[in-house]
Amino acid sequence: MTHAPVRATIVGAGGLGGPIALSLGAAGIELTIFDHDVVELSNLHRQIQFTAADLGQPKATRLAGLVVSRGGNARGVVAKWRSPAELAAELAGYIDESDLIVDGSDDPETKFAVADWAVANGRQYVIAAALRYGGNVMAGVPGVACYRCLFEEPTSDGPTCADAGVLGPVVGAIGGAAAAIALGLVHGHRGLAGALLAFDDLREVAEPRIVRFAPRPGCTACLRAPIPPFATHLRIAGDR
Amino acid sequence: MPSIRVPSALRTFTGGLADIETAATTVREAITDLDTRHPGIAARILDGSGAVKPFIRVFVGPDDIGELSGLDTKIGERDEVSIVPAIAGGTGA
Repeated sequence: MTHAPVRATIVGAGGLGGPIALSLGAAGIELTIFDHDVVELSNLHRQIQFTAADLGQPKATRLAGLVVSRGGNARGVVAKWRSPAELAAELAGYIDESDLIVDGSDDPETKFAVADWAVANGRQYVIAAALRYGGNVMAGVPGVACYRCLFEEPTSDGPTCADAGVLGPVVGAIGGAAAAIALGLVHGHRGLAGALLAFDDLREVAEPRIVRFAPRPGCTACLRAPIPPFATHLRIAGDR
Repeated sequence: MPSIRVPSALRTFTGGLADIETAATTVREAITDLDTRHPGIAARILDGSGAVKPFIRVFVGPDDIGELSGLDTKIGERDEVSIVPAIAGGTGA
């Protein structure tokens, strides 16, 4: 008896997308990798999946090629989205190839677009972000509070890598955590769904703080969800 | 004494300090106290009307203050107030 392969879409092929794609690809998940950038010299200290030989090449196809070279199944999509709507339109073409979607992008609007798309299409998803010495990972499944319940809307006022920077190894750690959680979702482990893992400063503490949040009344993403979030949520055993 | 956990991204305001003790008894007082000692940080957490900005969540222990009493949530001696901003990053910059 054989099982249909699990298929995942990864948005972002950089510092976070690299470890996510390599981990999921090595685990036998079929990948579609979206990115719209090319490899630059300034990327290499933290996007360690790339080498100088990749400079100027599209990240999506180079990362997909690396996954394939390690025995995985992946293809890169050099996407052109410039807005959340355009990204949603591009993702729509791959809906049948996405049991799971993982965001490793570097801008807030893309993260919201990925989460909204996953909620609207009833897909599991993981949103990963890294900044300075830490980062956040959030896992979502149909029926729980979503990323937009948590942070409501993107902003240009929040801290970015441009003003705060990011330590190279941090993206590897956050990407690895996102991949582990994604694999957990694939195998039915939903204990972290609807929770945010906040890694504050990986130079000092490797363990994340885990916080949970409730569905937000009036959340525009949840209103479009095929399975709306439950009115209550579970707390982690042992909390307070 | 309660403490405030300042996220890495906002520690430029606190000179790198991550944990700051406060004598405050509510979350609102804690943020005010934080801003008194580290001017400008409250403007990164609260909007012009004094509400928590949409892309920031504040927790007391593991509990979202939105499920408690918001900024008027009381904090006790052993509580930790965590400020968790939405962040992006990983490929750019």
